[in-house]
Amino acid sequence: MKNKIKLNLGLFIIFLLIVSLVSAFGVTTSYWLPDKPLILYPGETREVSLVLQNMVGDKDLTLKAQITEGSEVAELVNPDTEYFVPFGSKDISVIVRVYIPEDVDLEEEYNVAVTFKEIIEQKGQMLEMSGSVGANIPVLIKSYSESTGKSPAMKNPSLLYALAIVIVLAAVIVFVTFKKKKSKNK
Amino acid sequence: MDFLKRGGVILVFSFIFLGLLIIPSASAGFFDFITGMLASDTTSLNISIGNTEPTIDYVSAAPNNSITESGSAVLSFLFNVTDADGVANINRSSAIGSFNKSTEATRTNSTCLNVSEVGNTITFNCSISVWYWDANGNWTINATVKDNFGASVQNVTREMELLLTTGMVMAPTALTWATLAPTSTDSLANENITINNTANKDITDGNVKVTSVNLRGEETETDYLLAANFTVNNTNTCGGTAMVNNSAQGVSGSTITAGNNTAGSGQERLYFCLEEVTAGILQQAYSTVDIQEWTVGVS
Repeated sequence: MKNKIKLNLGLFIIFLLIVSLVSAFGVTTSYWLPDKPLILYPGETREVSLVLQNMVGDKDLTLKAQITEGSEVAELVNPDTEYFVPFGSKDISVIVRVYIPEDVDLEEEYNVAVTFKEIIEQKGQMLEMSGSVGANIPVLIKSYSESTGKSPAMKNPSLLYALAIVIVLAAVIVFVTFKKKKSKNK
Repeated sequence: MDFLKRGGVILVFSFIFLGLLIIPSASAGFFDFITGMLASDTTSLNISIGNTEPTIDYVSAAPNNSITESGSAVLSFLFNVTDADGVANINRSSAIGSFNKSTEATRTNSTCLNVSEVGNTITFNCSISVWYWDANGNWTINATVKDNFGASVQNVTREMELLLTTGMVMAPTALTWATLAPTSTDSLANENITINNTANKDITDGNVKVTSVNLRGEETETDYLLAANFTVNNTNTCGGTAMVNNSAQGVSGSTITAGNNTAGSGQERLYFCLEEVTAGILQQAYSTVDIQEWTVGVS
């Protein structure tokens, strides 16, 4: 009977199914492929929102957020990565900051994947399960004008204004100096 | 002579003008009075009484919207109907609003509510339910109304964007196995896990993932039943996707297209199998107690 040693692997649990619903939650993203990637330009930083909902069942949930892909260009803005999602809510916002290096190639693509895992209280069962859902933010790199519809010169309007003021001032100074010289010569 | 010529021309044009006045829309023949053959005749006349069609000159913006997992979300918009003949000429019960998208079922409300009247304009409010499996993307907003003469007008200039939501419900929460011997192989769990796709994202192959961990001995905690000994399949057999300790593994062949769960769509079952018992481990209970639980995820 040596080979018949019971491992209790299945014995210790005859928890017949507790058919309670778990992981009844969802996450909404505003970006998807192929129609609607997040278009950024090199050097740009943008904060985008994922929205959690908990509309099924009857219990409040706590979800742990983690960036599982694209962490080289994205981070969760809130340092506390656990989100309380009360039952009946569909407006819990999770802000993701996406930052693109200056030296990145145009047309480069990234995928930022954020996973939300339910934090459960263990009940001492043999093989317990929790659920997770994930959302993607596909990122496409375009030139500044392509990503915003504005010309590169308009990237920083205040700089443009400053430049214009400097030019006008220089012109005034040149004009005044010229006038003075002219009157001296007379 | 010139005078006479000019007079002749004027006369000819006068006759033509008169003729045009007499002939017009009546179907009776112009020369009937010459023949005198008919004492009476039937004449049909088209008489138009002026009716101005109403116009829909405003449809409100529809902000970005999301579905409600496993249910319906009510989305509303306003539209203004103006009728130059007065609001009394607008058929209030004919106001219909709908969301249209190719390949998707049209969502309609045929009883949009009259919420205000100002001058010749009525504002209608349309609330339309969209379901959790309705596809993300742009939907055309269609506002339609008739006047009391049946003249119909519609406006399809606005769009509503439905965002992309990933969601699921799974049951049960735990798995069990029958009694196992060290030599046991191909042991399926007593339960399978059912996953319902409760949102509008199609879960494609490789995106139903299971993260497993080694099961720890409850008495001798240095012994583990390895995660690598388990497989997960979307059919009721062993030999599925092999698990890797503490790593999310996409279950090969498992897809969950968004659909009406009640109608049997948008569902998937996962079957867990212990392919073989880890060699050399002690007889005791192994579990996830006080260590990390397994995770079933969709993305």
